[in-house]
Amino acid sequence: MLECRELVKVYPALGGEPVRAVDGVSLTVAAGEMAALYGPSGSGKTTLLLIIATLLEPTSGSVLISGADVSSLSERQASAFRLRQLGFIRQNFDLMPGVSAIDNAALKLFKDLPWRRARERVAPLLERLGMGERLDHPAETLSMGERQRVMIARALSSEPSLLLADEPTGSLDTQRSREVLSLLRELCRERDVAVVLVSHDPLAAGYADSVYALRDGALSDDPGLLAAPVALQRPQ
Amino acid sequence: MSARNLAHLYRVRLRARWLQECFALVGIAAGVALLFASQVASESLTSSVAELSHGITGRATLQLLARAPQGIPESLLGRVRSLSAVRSAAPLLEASARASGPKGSESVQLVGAEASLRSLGGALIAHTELEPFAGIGAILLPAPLARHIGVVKFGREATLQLYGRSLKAPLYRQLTERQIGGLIDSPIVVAPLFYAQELAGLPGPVSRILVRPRPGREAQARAELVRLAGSSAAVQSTGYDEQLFAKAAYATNQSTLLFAVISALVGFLFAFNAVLLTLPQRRRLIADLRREGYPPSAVLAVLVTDALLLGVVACALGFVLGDELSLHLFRSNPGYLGSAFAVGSQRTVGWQAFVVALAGGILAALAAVLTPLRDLFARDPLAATSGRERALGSSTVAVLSLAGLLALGVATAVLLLAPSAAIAGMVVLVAALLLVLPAVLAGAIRGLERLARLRTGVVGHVAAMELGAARARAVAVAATGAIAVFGAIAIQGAHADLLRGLEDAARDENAFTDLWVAPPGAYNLLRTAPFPAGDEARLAALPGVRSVLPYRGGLLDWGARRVWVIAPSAQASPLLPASQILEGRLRSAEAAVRAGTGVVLSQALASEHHLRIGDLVTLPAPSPLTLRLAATSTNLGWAPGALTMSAAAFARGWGPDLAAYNMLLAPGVHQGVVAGEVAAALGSSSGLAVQTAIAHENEQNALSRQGLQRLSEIATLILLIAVLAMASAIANMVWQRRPRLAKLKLEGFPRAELWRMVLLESVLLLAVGCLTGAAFGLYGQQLLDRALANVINFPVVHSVALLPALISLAIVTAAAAVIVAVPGYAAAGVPAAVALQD
Repeated sequence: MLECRELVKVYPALGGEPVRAVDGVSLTVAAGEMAALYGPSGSGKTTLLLIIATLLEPTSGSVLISGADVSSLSERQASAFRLRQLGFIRQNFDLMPGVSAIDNAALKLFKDLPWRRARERVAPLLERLGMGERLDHPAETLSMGERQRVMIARALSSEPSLLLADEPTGSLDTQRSREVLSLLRELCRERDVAVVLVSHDPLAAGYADSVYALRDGALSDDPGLLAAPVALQRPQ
Repeated sequence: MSARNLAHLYRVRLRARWLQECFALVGIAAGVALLFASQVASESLTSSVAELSHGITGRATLQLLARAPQGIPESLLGRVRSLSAVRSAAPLLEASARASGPKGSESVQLVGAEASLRSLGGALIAHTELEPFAGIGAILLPAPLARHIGVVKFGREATLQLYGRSLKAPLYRQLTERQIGGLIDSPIVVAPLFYAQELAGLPGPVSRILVRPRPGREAQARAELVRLAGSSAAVQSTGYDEQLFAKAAYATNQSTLLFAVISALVGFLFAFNAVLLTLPQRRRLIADLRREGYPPSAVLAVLVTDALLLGVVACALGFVLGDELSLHLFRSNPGYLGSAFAVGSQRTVGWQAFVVALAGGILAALAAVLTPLRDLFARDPLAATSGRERALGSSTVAVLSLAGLLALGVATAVLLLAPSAAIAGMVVLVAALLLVLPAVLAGAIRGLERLARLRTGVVGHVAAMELGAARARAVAVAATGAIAVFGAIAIQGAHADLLRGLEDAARDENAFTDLWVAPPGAYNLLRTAPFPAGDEARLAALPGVRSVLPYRGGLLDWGARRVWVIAPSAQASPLLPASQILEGRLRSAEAAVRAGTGVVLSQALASEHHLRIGDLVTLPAPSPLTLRLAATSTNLGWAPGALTMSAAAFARGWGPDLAAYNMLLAPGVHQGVVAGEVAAALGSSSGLAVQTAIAHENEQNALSRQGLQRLSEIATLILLIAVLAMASAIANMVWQRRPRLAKLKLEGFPRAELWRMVLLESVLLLAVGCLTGAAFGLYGQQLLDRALANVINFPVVHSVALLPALISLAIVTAAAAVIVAVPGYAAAGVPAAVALQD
C-alpha cells in the first residue's frame, strides 16, 4: 500500500555541512498494517512524515501510494490526495470550538456531500468509537480522549487508504492512550487502512505490527533502540 | 518588579507582537487625533471671538451698546466719563464691512478707536500709535489680512464697502504680532475714530462706549449707566458678545463634538480589536508569571506598563495627527457666524483639549490591555493557558439583546419626549447597537449554517464554524464597522436633511422678489444703512421694472441671543415663508404682519419668552416695539433664531434706513437683462450691487454648505476610518488564523477554497456590522433631525436617507472587502506544514 523508496531529504545549512534529515529510508506498509516510526527527537521522523503526507518534496527517492508516485505532486493534486486518500491524526486536537463533535468529524466530507449525508456517513464511525452519546456536544466540552476519537473519526471519514498519526497519544494518560491505540488498530484493520504511527512513546509503538527505528535520518536496526517497544507486552 | 525589569520585559515581548501593537497604536492615535482636532476647532472658534473682544475691551467690564445701527452720539462719552463710579471710558465705532484689494477681499470688522482706548489696556492699540496719523485718514491692517488682500505698502488703497457705500482707504501700516498679539489673525481694520466715522458716513456717533468702573463700584457704575442710557443704548458687561456667540455657535460646536466622539469611539474600537488579537499572549503571560510565583500586583504592573506605554505613544502620535487635522481640515469656520461676529482664524490649543484626548487615549489603552485581568484572580493560575477564547453563550447574548432593546426604548423616549437630550440619546443608541450586535451576528451565523447545509461544499460550513468559534472577536470586529457606519449615516443623513431644509428656507426668503439691490457681500441684508437718495426713483423708472420695494433687516441682541430680523415690504408676496411656519394660521399671520401689527418668531424664541400665539411681545429695538405674536417659524437657518415683521414695523423700531431694495419685474422680462440695466443705472461708484433672486438663493445655499462643511469633513473621515479599521481588524484576525488555516490545508483543502472561506467570513462580518450600523444610523438620523428641528429650530426636511445609507454601506463594505482580499489570499497560502509546528 505505502512504499517509500530510498527517500532522502537534504537541508542546506548556512556555513556548514548540509543536513541529511532523511537518509535513504525505504519501507513498506501494507493495507491494514500499522507501522510505527520510532526514534528520539531530531531523528527525522517528522520530516519523513511530511514527505509521505506530500507536504515536503524529497531531495531524491519516491513515495508510492497504491502504486502511484505522490512525491512530486502539484499543490492542487497534493491537496486532493490529502483530502481523499490520506487521514491525519495529531497530538493537538484540531477541533473547532463551539462546533459539535459530529460536525467536526464530518469536516472533510462537507467538500463533496450535503450536510445531512456527511453526518449520516460519519455518525456510525463515531458510534463505533464510543461517541454515540456525545455526537452533538461542542468540541470544548469533550474530554481529551473524546477529542482524539473525533479526530480519528475525521481522519477515517473520507475512507483513506493511508493514515498518518503523529504522536496521537501525546496528550493522553496511559489508560486513554491504550483505548485510543486499540481502537485505531482495530478500525484500520477492518477498513484495510495502512497506518504510519510516529511516536517516541514506547507504548504507542507497542501496538504496531512493525516498528521502524530512525536515528539521524536513517533506519536503524540498533537492538537498544528497538528494544523498548518490542519489550512492551502487547494487549491481547 | 523594578521599572527597569518591567521595561525589559515589555521590550522582549514587543518583538512577538509588534504588528498588533502598531495596529492598536494607529487606532488609538486616530481616535485621539479626531477628539483633539474637533476640540481645537471648537475652542478656536469660541476663543477667536473672545480674544478679539478682550483685545479691544481690555480692563473695561461694562459697555454702553447702541441699539440702533445709527449708533449713540459721541457727546454721551463726556457724560459717561463724568459719572462718579466710572474710572475711565473709551468710545468705539464698529461696523461690518468688506475690505478688498488687488489680491482678494474679506469680510472684516472696521474698528474706529481713539487714544483713550489705550487706558483700558486692550491688546488692540496697547502697542500701536494712533496719534501719528490722526487727521490723515488712513487704516491699519493686521499683516496676514494685508497680505491676503494685497494692500501691504504705505499709501496703498484698500476698498471698503459698508453701509451701502464703497470707499477707498489708504494703508498707514501693517500691524504685527508683536503689536497686537493674538489678534493678528482677526479680520479687523483699525482706523482712528474720526476716520471710521467718515468711512461709515456716521459723523459723530459711536457704536459702543467701553467703561472701566472704579474698584468695587461696578454695580453703582452699571446703575448710573442705565439711567444715562435711556432707550438709546443697552448696558451690558463686556463679555456679552461672547455669550451671544456661545449661543450662536452652540449647534456647530455640539454637533462637531458629537461627531468627534463617534469618530473617537470608532478609533478606540479599532485599537481594542488590535489589542484583542494579543489577548492569548497576554493571558499566557499572566499564567506564566503566576506559575512562577509573582503576586497579582506584579502582574498588574506588567499589564499597566503595557497599557501606559501604548497609550502614551498613541496619544503623542494622535496629537501630531490631530494638530495636522485641525490645521488643514477643521480650519474652516462656519461663514454664517462671521456675518454677526468678528470670527478670526487663529487656532487655540487649550489644555482641556489635551487632557480630554489624553484621558480618552489612555483609557482606551487600559480597557484594551486589561481585558484579561480576570485571569489574575482566577483560582487556577493556569486557567489562561487553555488558549480557548471565551464564547458568548446564548443566555449572555439574550441578556445583552434585552439590554439593547431597553436602550433602544430609552433612545426612542429621548427622540419623542426630550429631543434636547439628543447627544445623550445618541450615546444610548450606540450602546443599544453594541448590545444587540451579538444577537444579530449569532443570527447571521445561524443563517449561514442553514444555507451551508442546503448546499454541497465546505466553504460555508467552515466559515460559519470559524465565526462561531471566535464569536467575541467577531463581535468586536463587526462593532467597529457598525459604529463607523452608524456615525457616517447618522451624520450624513442629518447633514443632508439640514441642507435641504436650509435650501427650502432660502427659496422662501427669495420668493417675494426678482432682484435684490443691496450692499455687496454675502451677509449684506443684516444691517440697515442710509441709502443714497434718488436711487429708488431711478431704479423704478427702468424699463421692465414693476415696482421697487424697501427691505429692512438686521441683528437684534435679545437676551442671550443675537437674532435675525427679516422685514420685507408689506406689499411683498408671499410675505411669510409658508414652509417654515410651525404654529399659527398662515393667512391670518400674514395679514397681521402686513398690517404692521404682527410678528413671526422662531419657536425657540417664543418658548424662551413664554409667548403663545396672540400674545404681545415687546422687542428691545432702539424704540421698543410692541407687536402681537402671529405665528412661530423655524429659525430660517440662523441658529440663535429669527423674527419676521413688515418693513414698516421695522422702521418704527429702528428708523427709516434700508438693507436692500426688492425689485419686482414685469412678467416675461429676463432678470439677467434687467440686472445689467440696474447695475448700469447705479454706476460703478455705488456701494450697492444688484443680484437676481436665483443668484442670491444660490449664494445662500453655498454659504449653508460652507457652514456645514466641518460636518461633511467629519463624516468623510469617519467613513475612511471605518474602512481602515474594518480592513485592518479583519486582516489582522485572518493573519492570526494562519495556523488554523494550515490545519485545514493539512486536511486537504486547497488554497483557493481557504481564500473563499476567509472572504466569506470577512464579507459576513462586514455585512452584519455595516447593516446593523446602517439601520441604527437611520434611526440616529431621526434623533439628530428632531434635535436640530425642535431644539435649535433649524428648518430640517425629515427623511430616511436610504440611498446615502446604502452608498455609505457599499463603500465601507466593498473597500474593506477589497483590502481584506489581499492579506486573505496571503494567509490562505500558509504552508500546511505550519500545522505541525505547534
